[in-house]
Amino acid sequence: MAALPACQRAEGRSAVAEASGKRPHELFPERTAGEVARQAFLVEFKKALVHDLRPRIREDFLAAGGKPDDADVRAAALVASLPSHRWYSALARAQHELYVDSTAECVERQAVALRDRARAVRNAARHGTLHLDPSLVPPSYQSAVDIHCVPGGYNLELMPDDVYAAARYELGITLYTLGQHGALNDSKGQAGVAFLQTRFPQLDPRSIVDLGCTVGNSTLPYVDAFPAATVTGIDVSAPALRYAHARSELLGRAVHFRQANAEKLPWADGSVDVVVSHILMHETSRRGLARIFTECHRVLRCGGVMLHVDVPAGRGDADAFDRAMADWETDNNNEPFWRGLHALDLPHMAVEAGFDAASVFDECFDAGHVAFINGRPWWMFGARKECP
Amino acid sequence: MTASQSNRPRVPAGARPVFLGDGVSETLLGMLLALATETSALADEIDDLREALREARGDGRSDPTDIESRRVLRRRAMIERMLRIVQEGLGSQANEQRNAAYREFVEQLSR
Repeated sequence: MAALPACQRAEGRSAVAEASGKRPHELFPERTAGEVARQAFLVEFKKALVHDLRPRIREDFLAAGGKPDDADVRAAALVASLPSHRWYSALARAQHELYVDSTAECVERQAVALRDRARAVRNAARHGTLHLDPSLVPPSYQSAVDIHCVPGGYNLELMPDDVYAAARYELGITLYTLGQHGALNDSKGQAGVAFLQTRFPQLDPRSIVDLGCTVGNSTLPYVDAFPAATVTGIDVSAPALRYAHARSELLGRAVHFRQANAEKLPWADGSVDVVVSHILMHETSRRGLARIFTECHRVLRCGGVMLHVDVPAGRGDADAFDRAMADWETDNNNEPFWRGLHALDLPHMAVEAGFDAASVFDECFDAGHVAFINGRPWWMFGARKECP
Repeated sequence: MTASQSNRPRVPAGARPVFLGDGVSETLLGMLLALATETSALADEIDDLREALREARGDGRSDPTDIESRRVLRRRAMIERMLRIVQEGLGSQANEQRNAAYREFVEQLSR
């Protein structure tokens, strides 16, 4: 069977060892030897599913008459009928539940200490700021289901001033991505910066806003790349923002974090140079995304850029089998807009929001940062605001 | 921390799909994977104790990179053994073809 070449396996192993063996900052959850051992096994198990069992499903798909250029509906039905796919799905779901529970247990036992540490850092903040809005109601696409099957989701608060959900998220994504997004989990931000600097070499922003920033992992590369800019991260989750602020302080970066909904940005018309997001689009909805595009256009100055970095599922050189497998997240892992996003005419939506059609970009950009889920370069969608 | 001491929600809002025909198989699979995870963690603990014994004997500890490498290999070998039966492809078209060929061979021997 077509397993991943040994050299690629070795790279994946060393990346995980590097990412999980050291704490990248003082707020990153501490793990006992038992937790490290359990999570290391679950990471290895997931690698086996992705690198060994998934190619087996492709073989079975082709053996059963599937073709790379099949219609998506036919390919999806054929893939779902394969025994190897049923086993892959059952094992992948069981692995995911154990990994979530293991990280949740690890963070819950130190939740009070993490909360206190974040408070102390916040009280001594020297770089950025934190502004929470207790009246904010998260949109339904953030509250109706627990995204990625994490009980309680991003907004869960176990105690006043809580950071549990965010700390679990940062530990979780390090393991979920098999460590392939770097020790600081910043590959999406690095890719976004590289894209902006390549596509818009004259860009010299004074203000950058990161939508749906969660723990600020993708926000920090913009601070380093554009030192003259004021960088702000917004999110609907208070725990995420508390954690993000303390994390940025500990890493010595100036970011201003603000609790706000990307559908209703707290900035005046024409007052922002760059609006970015990272894996935000697939966590929204058609109507929500249309409003986000409209808000981006409204707050951008003339010549400003809207950039959304997202997972390249089913894009680029993906064939019918890849697209069928990409929908697994929608059907089995509480990613309800994953499939819906990729069916949208996003360039048309950007034009509807006010952007010029000629300014729209929609491509996978290879700057050496790839999405772990399929090894493909990150997907860049956005537009530049042109003014008469 | 046991479940009774925990304050966090433990079941995510949303659907819990079943892939293996019924909830019983799915439940057993989840329990099996949890036990395999604990077994692997115990193997790491035994490895830690062996390293402590090495040190106590005056042989020194192994290089941390070597320790991690051999643990990765052990986990990988364990998982390969666990997934052997899945990789074999019971119920797949290829397996059906193998079965049909065998039945034909059985008939041939009796002709």
